[in-house]
Amino acid sequence: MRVTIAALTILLFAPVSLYAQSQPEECAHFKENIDAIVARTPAQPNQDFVLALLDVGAGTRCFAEYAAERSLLLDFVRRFEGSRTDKQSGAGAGAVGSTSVVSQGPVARVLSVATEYGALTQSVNGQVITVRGNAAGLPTALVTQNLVPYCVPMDRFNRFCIGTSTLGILRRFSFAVSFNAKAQEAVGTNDAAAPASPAGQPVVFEASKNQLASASLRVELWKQKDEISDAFLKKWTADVGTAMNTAGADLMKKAGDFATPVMDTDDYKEWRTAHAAAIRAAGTDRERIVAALHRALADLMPIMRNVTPALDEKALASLASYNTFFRKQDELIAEIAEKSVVAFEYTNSRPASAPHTSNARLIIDAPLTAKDKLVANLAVTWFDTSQINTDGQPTKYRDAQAGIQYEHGLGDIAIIGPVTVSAALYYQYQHAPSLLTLDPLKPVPGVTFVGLPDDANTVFATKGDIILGQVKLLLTPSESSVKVPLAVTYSNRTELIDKPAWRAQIGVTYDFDSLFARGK
Amino acid sequence: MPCKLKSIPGSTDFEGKSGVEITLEVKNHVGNVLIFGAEYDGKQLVPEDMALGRVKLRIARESRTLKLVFVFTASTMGRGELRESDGADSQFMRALVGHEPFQAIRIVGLP
Repeated sequence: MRVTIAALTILLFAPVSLYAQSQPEECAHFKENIDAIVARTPAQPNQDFVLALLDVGAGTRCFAEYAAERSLLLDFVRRFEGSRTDKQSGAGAGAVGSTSVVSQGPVARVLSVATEYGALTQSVNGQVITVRGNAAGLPTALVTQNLVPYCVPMDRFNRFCIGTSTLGILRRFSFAVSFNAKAQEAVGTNDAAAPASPAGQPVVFEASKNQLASASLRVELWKQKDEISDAFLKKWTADVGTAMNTAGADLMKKAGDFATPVMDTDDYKEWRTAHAAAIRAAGTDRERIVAALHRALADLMPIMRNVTPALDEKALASLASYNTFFRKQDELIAEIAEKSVVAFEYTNSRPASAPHTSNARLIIDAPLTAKDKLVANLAVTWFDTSQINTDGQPTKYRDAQAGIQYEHGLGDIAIIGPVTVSAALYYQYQHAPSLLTLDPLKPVPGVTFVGLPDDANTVFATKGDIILGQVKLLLTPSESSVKVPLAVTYSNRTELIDKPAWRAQIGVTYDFDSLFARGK
Repeated sequence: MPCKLKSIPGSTDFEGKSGVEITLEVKNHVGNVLIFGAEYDGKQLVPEDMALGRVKLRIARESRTLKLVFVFTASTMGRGELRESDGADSQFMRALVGHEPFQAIRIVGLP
């Protein structure tokens, strides 16, 4: 508890106490030019490290950091008050009700919600809503809202910030919770015109312990990155203009609003001439150069305020735009650079009418080309408590699974947007038969038992291995954050019924990543 | 052809004859760098949704600020330089660093 309070205190007040800095020479632009002056680094023609040090147009971010220092507390409080108000989004393949035969490697960076209809290997259909989140979600949101600065590695400020390495580690951990959404029973209706399609059924989301269908934790064990190949560079060059559109335009405006007005003034030119001379007089003595820089910055602020009365707000706005720009740039690089992923997922499933099970899954996600990728899963499922097997012996081992999926991107198709088609093959070795727990008060939907003894409380299904094939289309309507998987599956049998079955699955996924990205 | 911009002593500004077209291009040092946005004399020099290795502009009358935003494959660790080029001739204009993706350069147009 004490640790939690301490962590919250740091999280809430660190931005106030540490965002600001009183050592401007630790900001990368100032630091690197001072280093060059001290080291007498050879300059190119037209290059002058003293003039560069004092150039508001070259080191805009560091000048804005200095200008913003005194107004950060007020701004932080205001914004904090104001703020009160190719991913796996649905359930993983090990969870009940999932439309996915194999689980994907990457997951949503912040949060996604998926609702999927139609089980794969279970005989009991149902609608499942999955909320999937990432450990990096909260820190990313704090950076997105500019409550915490985004780290610039070259800055040497002794302050709290969140950077790409921290987010990269946190992004490896994700969670998912799936809930059963019960179809509402029609009351007093025999209306033949009532919609028969499952998609038309209203859904009731009730608070009940049985509503929790499954919970899972996932960790990405290994990622292969490529940030230097020709393929990476080609993709980055093609995508960077679109990906950085909003963030780049915002930076151009906000940084420009802060820096350029003063650059037109005679006062600025006089300031530059006078302080360049003072810095040159310090020679290569770092302490004297730093002292001269402090005096220069102190003298510059009134000049800047004279031409930009709302300088503090402009400085803060520009720093916020730098935060967003750096974060978006890093996200784009990470997205393009990410190649193969090996992940481990643990899922605990809690079906209402069957024993609870756990599933351990190894996920291998390997892009083959820009449009094609291969995903493979190996998994094992066990009962949370021992169950009697068909041989009369108790066992926890339920089944083992292997799946492989090939995906091909079809590109943009008219108004539908990007479409991906995939084909998957799945094999499930059934060690112990599926069990159904009978409860007269909670009948298993869609299943009727005949000839059972009155005191029967568990039903065995016929044991048998399952082979399943699936073809799936994933639609991503243009300009939307929605993904719609449409799948047709054939299986030689299901866990309960020893007969071949054709099934159709449909789902809707809402990816909050793009919503957050759109907001910034 | 010799470069058309001339560094103004005692400043990081440049001057050149107004009406003359110049070419600015980036040179990579650490990772790759591209010009994401360039704004000069009220004109956008880079088409939307693109990032380019070079841009052209015509020097305006009097003093104008060229505003630029750069993108880096090495993110904040990226390094490069902005140069004016004219055929075989080329001159340094500005060091580019990933942690300062915005740059503003004064260009004074001479009669």
